[in-house]
Amino acid sequence: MEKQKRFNKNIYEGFFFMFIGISMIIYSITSYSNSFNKDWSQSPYAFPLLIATLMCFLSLSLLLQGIKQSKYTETKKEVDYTAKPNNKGVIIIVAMSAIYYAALSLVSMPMYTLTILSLNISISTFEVATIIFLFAMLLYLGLRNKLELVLVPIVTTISLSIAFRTLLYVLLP
Amino acid sequence: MLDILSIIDIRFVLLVFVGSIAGLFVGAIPGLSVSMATALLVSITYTWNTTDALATIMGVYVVGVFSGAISAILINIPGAPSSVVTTLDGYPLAQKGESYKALYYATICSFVGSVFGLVALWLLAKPVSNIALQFTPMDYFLLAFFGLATVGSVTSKNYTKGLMSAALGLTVSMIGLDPIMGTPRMIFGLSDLQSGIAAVPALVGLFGFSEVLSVVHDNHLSQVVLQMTKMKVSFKETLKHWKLSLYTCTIGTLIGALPGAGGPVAAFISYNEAKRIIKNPEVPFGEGAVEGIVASESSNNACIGGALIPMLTLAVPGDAVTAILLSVFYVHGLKPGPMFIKESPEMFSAILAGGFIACIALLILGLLVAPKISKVISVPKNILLPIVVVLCVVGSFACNNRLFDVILMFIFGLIGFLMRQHDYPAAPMVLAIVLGGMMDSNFRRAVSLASSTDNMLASMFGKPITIVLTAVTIFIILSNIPFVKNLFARKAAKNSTL
Repeated sequence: MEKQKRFNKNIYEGFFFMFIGISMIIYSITSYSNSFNKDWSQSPYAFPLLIATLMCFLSLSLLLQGIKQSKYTETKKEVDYTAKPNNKGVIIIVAMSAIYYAALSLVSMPMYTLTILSLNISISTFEVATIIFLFAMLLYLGLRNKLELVLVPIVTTISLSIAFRTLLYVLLP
Repeated sequence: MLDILSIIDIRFVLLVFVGSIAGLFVGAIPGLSVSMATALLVSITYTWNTTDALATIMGVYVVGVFSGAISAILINIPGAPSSVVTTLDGYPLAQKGESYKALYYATICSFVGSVFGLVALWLLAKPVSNIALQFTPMDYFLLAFFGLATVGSVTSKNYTKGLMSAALGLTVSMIGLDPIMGTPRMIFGLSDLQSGIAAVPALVGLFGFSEVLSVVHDNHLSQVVLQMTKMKVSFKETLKHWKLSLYTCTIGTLIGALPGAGGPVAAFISYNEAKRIIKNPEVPFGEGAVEGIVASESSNNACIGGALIPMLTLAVPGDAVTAILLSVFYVHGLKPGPMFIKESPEMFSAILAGGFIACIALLILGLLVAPKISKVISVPKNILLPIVVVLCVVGSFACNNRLFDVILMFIFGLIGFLMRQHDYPAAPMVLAIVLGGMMDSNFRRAVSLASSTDNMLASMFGKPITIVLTAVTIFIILSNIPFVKNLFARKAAKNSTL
């Protein structure tokens, strides 16, 4: 172990929340001064101001903690390589989810209804987008069994569609 | 008693059992949480009648809290946060080939804990409601503030971060039209934000999508499941631990009633108490002591009834699941609070009836089905996680039938993930989102009422209940400030050396 000066992450977080707190104070005060109601006890901006002030105090506390900790922080030499964080994976999952959302909101498909054994199975944007999304996610998360890669998205989507749309009367995207 | 029995019919029992089966799987599969399942259920049961919705949700809640023990025992990963302590002795016992025994004790103690908590709810809800009738708007504000201050202290190692999470939640709750005058706040020109941020997409994102991102980030995609062999455990042997079970049930109910504390804290305190009381267990604690499982499982399930007491009588939820339950009430047009039991006695009975039937379901499922679901909990996470994402999308959309809620869910998922990475607990934020509106309106009512009197401070803080609540809240905040903590620690050290 070695002792060295280091900029603690609490300081960054403290600055970030201080920025939010001050922005909220400015927002509350300017909105209050622009509104016709000039009584703080009735104003809808009194509570935001109270919370913003609390946030500023808390961020100040974070800053102080960060400064105190960064004076002499023991940096660990040993790194646990078995649990390497997968930041790239998180970005890919978020990107896939964003594409899935875009498909659900932008693509409009006509609804086809299949009747199998008196069960109505609707096929529309949600079903198609979900099957593709599940397939892509499973592939990315390392599933290599071809049968599972095909069956899991189809069975899951159709089960969800029957359960929500047909049985529970819940609207799907 | 008759009120409770009058609610029960075959449909009700079936719905509780359906919820219980869902709770069994959701709680047992790491990566799926009871909070997430309840949040998803809010949107699904939106169109149902309230009794049906409560029956299903009580089933999920009671059995879901228990079933976290299954994966805790078999794969050393708690299915629910309240089962973290169960891993300490449950998994070592399973490694010795006694996983059936561990699961048997977990089932019996969870059953006892759940029944104990629900009986406490039954007996204490009315007296607490009567006290709550005397609460002023300031008292409600302080009570909610006390809840947030407490949850901040018990869910994070760093108290400032716990409170910051609550402050963020309060900020989120202020978005939209204000509850008294209908003035738009913080909507930044977005018409979709006018109706505010619905609790369901926020909860689904914070508990569901953030969990998916965390599992991918931490590379926790594989797990090893221990095999289960059936063995006989005598009833007499089980009865040996009744005193410890009842004692930890009491701890669980009391801690459950504290806003924000919940199952993990109760289980941890009960485990430490068990270690303190039982000096010579047959097997040492941490190596497969049955007493460890008894303490943990009795107390975390007793929290259910405890957490429902403040939720039903004061509209202040005891934990994340009850915070979601509170939104179920609001969605169905019910108003929990001091008048709830008088105005909606049938709903109070439905909760109790659902809870008690779920206890029976817990016993049946725990003894007969749980030992056989080791194959289900070993579903690879790379198959489970994509399905969870789709469920999150469906759950958040179904709440208001608008795609804007889906994007909110993704945003909250990302916020929840970043919070986890930087050690900010999600529970205070959830409680704050649910309580924010109530705090805002009561704070303004209190200030407004006081401003018309001669002595504003005396009017706001002069009543005995207000004084007690103010004192308790200040104590909680002060006792968590590092400087004050160090001062007490130094004093305690000095006293021990003398």
